[in-house]
Amino acid sequence: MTQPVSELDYLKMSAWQKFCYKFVSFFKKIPMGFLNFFKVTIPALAIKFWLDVKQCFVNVGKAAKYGDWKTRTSFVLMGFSQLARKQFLRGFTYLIFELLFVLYLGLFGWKYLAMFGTLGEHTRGEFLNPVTGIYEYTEGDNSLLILLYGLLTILFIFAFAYAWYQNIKSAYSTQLVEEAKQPLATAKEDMRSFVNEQYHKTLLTVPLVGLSIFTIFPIIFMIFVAFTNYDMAHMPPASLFTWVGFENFIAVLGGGIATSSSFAYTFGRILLWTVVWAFFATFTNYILGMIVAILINKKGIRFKKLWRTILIMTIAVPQFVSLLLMSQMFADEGIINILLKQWGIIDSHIPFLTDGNWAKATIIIVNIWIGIPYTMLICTGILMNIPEDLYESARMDGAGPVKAYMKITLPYMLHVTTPYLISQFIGNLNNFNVIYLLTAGAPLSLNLANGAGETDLLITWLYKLTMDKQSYGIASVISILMFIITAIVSLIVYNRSGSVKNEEDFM
Amino acid sequence: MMKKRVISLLACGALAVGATAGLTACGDKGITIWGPAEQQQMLKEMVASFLEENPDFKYEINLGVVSEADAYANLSKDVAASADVFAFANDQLMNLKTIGGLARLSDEAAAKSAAENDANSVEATKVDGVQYAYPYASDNGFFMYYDKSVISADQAKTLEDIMDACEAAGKYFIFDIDNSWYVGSFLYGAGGDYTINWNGSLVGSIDCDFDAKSPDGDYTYGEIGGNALIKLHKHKNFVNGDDNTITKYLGDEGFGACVSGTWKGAEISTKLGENYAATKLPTYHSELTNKDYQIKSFSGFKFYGVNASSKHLAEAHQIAAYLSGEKMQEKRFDTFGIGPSNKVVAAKDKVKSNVALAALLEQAPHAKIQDSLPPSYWSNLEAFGTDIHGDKITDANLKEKITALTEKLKSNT
Repeated sequence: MTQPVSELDYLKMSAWQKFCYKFVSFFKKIPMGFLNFFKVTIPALAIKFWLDVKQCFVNVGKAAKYGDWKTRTSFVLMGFSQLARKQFLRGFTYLIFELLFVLYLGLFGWKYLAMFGTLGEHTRGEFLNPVTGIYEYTEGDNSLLILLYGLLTILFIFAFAYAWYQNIKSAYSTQLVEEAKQPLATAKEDMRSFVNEQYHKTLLTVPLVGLSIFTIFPIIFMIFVAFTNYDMAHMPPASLFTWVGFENFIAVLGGGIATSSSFAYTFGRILLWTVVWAFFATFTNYILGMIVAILINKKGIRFKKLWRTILIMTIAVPQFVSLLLMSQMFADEGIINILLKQWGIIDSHIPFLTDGNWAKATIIIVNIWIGIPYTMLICTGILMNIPEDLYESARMDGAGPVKAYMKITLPYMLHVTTPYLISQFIGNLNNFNVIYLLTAGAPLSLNLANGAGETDLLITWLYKLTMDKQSYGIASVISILMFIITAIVSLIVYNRSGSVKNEEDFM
Repeated sequence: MMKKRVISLLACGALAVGATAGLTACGDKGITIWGPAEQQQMLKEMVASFLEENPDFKYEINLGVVSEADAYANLSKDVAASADVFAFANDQLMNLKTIGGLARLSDEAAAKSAAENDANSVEATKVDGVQYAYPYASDNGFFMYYDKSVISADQAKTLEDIMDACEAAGKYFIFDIDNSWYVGSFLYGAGGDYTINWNGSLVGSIDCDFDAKSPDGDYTYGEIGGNALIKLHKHKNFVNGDDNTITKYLGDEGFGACVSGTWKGAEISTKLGENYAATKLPTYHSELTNKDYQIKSFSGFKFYGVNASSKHLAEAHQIAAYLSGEKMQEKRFDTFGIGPSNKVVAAKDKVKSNVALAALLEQAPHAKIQDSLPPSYWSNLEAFGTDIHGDKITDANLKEKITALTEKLKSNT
């Protein structure tokens, strides 16, 4: 089954063979996809980037070669060309921007940028104040602030370079317009363009700035932290941290996989459980939720609204409240164990949350209880959307309920909900709440290292590493790895899903 | 069309205003003190009396809720933005010093504090011989509470008699086996030890001999202690549980005895009334060596620390010294029964007659002074206790588990 088969051969296969064929070819395509990504997509992007950069230099070169003295002065004094040609609004905007940038760099950014390579050299000092007899502290370098403002300054330099390039381009094009004896855009026209042809820029500025400050910049910062030894022993303001290259990555990924006290072993174990958990949490909820929705939707079921309302009640209670209650209920001395003992079903308590394997099963089951109502709500809407005539014709052709489900309901549901499934899967990979509130990663075990417990997901372990151990460097590495894993999974599954490939089906 | 654009522009503007609203600057906030939630009222009274005695104190004093156990967790988030004066348990001293959270005491204040408080507590405030905190309580240890009507004072001496008495009366012995603070007591009792060699305030190396042979026979310290824990855990009148479980068993009348600290004293004494009693931890009999071992507890202290990043260091030191002074320690004992470290207060009759503190004193010769412990200590001993509780550690694999535990403790992972 390794060779691609012709359509005729494919149709001759039995259902089981078809399934196997599809299954194998799905996984066979993945390495090809990666190869394509590295052989085609990345080179294409690189070439495009190179061409863009080249074009920039060509434009600047042109302006230098053919520009008049006004344009050439713009190389140093931004906005001069526009000012000299009486485009005051544009000219002053560029000029003020340049002034602000120089002020920022000179007064603030420069000192952080200068220390960016070492992240600071002077630690805080302690000295006795002879007058008061009190020990006081000199302010040393703060590695965290150096990293933060250093990065910020670098980003500003990029922004300045871009603005400078725009300034040259605009200066030269203004010169060309003037030489062609065409009228130059007035300030009023410039302003008006921001609500007309450049309206997209006006609208996107605020979201873009917000996104950069609150999302993109912190992510870049976090990535840089992964290459430092920022941890409890190197914590500003008392001490400095510095660059360590790939040391943290080696600690997490390399070496000592076989020994239980190594980072790599623990990382592997936790990663495995994270994937297992995400799989079960996603598909148990999906399948059971769909079954519940179908049951309630069935003709002849009475009090439909009542059943739905009861299920939705679980949503009305805040999730963390029900989770904390559940963790009390399932405790060794909790109500469930006490009741089971009183009824004589068990002699000693069941370790629902204190034994690794029991705890894993309990978590998945509690998650079903919490998750089914959501799936049921979503499925109810979609189920009502399936055209009734499909079922009617199926019945006429002699299809039973199971056949109708397999051939109509399930394909339709999968087609519509694949993106939902993917987002659920990714969400479950990072499902902090359920794990942290139910077990907080417990039970701990001597088989794992660095404070990890049997039910810890990568995300809850990450929380422990940062909040209890202050191992920020290592934690950054783990979050980068988590991002890579989730990104790869979602890209592969999403691009290969029917929802994307056959968008028009079922329309 | 134009109107729509104006509206969307306004929406964008509103977004921008919302984004900047959170970035308001903040001025001098005076001096902030952190203390546990249940002591806020007392702390308020203490601050009031401080201001009364120092009428020309020029800063505003604010209170924040952070318990002694969480001081490090909160300070480590942002030292500069944390309280100027804070209460903490002594096991966080080294970590707090490492992150620059503790200011050194002036020589004068250090001398005064050393003269007034018990020597052990003062010793525990030092890093490399330099004092970094003000001791105010020496009661951070554990011992045993029991019900006199179930267990006689004589029976309370050995674990075996306690369990027999509990079984006879249908009551329970409550011990937190999967809590790293308590579970080590059996291993230390057998003769094992765990010592950190400090390199300044950083962990240099760790000595741990849980896997070393005991002089009493062909067994390691860890095996002797672990074997006793396994035996205790199997007993049907044993309950693994924390302070909440103790409360529950007190309510259900299933309480025979428990291991806890002074903070539980008031509650147990009101519940048991005349039958309330407390004493040192019992001995346990090892089946392996056929000998009795005294269970050891931790003894710890509570300190006031001054944040080295404080903008008003002198005033912060003044407040910390006041809050840990003799008068305030007595007030703390009167209000909450907190055991003083001040020698004058500790010698008072009312302190000496306190049942829980007397038990703590009785335990003192069998207590290990609790050093600052790294996270690896807490997680690995909790794992050890959890594995015993989950029957993952049995007599058959005890030896290898002890070896694994010791290795992890030594390598600080």
